[in-house]
Amino acid sequence: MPREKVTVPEQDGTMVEYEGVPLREILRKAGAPLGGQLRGKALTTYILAKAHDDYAVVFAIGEVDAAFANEQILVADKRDGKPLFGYQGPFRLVCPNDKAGARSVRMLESLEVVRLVK
Amino acid sequence: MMRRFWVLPLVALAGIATMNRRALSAEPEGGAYQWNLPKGFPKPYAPADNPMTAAKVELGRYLFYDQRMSVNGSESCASCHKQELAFTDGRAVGLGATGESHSRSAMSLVNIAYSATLTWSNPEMRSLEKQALVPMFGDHPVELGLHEGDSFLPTLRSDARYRELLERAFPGETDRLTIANVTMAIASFERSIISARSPYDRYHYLGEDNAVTDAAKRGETVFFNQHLSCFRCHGGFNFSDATMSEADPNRRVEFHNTGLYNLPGTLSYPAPNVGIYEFTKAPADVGKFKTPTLRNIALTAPYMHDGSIATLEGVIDHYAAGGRAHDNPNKDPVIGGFALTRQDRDDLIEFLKSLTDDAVLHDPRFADP
Repeated sequence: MPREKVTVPEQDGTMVEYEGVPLREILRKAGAPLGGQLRGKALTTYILAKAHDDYAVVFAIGEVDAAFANEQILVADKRDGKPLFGYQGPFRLVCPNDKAGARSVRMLESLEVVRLVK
Repeated sequence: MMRRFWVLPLVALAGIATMNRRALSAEPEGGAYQWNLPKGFPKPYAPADNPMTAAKVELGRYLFYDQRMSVNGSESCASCHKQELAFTDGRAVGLGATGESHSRSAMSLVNIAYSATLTWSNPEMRSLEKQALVPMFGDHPVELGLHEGDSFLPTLRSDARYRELLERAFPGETDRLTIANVTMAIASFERSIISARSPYDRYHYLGEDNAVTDAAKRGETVFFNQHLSCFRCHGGFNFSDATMSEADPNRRVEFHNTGLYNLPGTLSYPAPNVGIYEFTKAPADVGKFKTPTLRNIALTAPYMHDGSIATLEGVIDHYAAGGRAHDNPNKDPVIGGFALTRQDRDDLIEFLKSLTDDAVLHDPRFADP
């Protein structure tokens, strides 16, 4: 899968480079509705990101689709070229455009693609 | 109703993760002052008109500890910033040379070079040189109680040691002992007080697995638990979101209302400690204060801006309750409360204790000359 890098500020203001695979590419590989498939009821799809400490957040599928918000959310496994460890990793989300850090889930363990059916 | 049709486990790929341990090493620099910073610690900011020099740091150390710097010879900067207490004073609120109490707790000076703003609640106070003038000359409250024209400058000028220190610190200047030079030297000394070699640093950056206890290692996991959110404000290498460095000296700082009070009326915090509202006059800023560093936090009791919580256990209980005045309308949404087992609480405290840097407490470079 394609790997990308993104540089973001940490809480202490230092700039850190994260490297990993775009969330969009992982979802595409898993068969989630993206591109031409993302219309109608498919737009009720969301991604539930869960962490090792049971922390969880959601993203709407439209946030990552190129035709909608096109957010460059990364599933990172490296920080400044080194593997993430301990309370950071081994995987974490990096949401460069989020003002708050709460959705940049650390210790990411799973991504569930869920469709809301009413 | 939800229908789940994919689950992508990431655990299987976890094997690629390896421990990222950074070695401490001296950083040779071209400039006059050797910061000797470990990796992971950026170069601190020093203003262009007051570059760091060893001579200014040394002069600043003498001034910092000199009780002739107060109106009645009873106090120095070190009276409220004691080395053995990580440059705090162990009191709930500071006490000036004339016996007047400050309304807030003396902040630690450890790693103050990395602080984007310097006081509990003044978002504009970003210069250590300017801040030094407040305890020296301030009247509300009186701290050192000096006045321009006092005898302290002539007294110091007649001291042969100061003449020597001044000549080295400010060579080429005709009148070396000026208020401006005094504040520049004190600021330089304060910037030199860097804490980067606590047991946690040795564990985290040097890979010394035995540097901290197993309880502290468990406590690290509690601290970085995303439900507790401690690290959201106390994050980064300096465990504070009010951190800056040479690379970003103008960084904007977030201040936080932690739900300590919720008094009826316009001001929900007891005056004069109303947070940055004192300066911004925005009602949403009532009760918002700076996030202090957690480095050496075990030594800086009592806690919070007014010393109103006596122990670390009390602080953790405060946050676990979502703030003791949890219904303050300005309370930061991050402080939502959490459940913690006794074991987790004890472990968290052990982690916080692992941030105590004995080297700073005993380093002769920072001691009373």
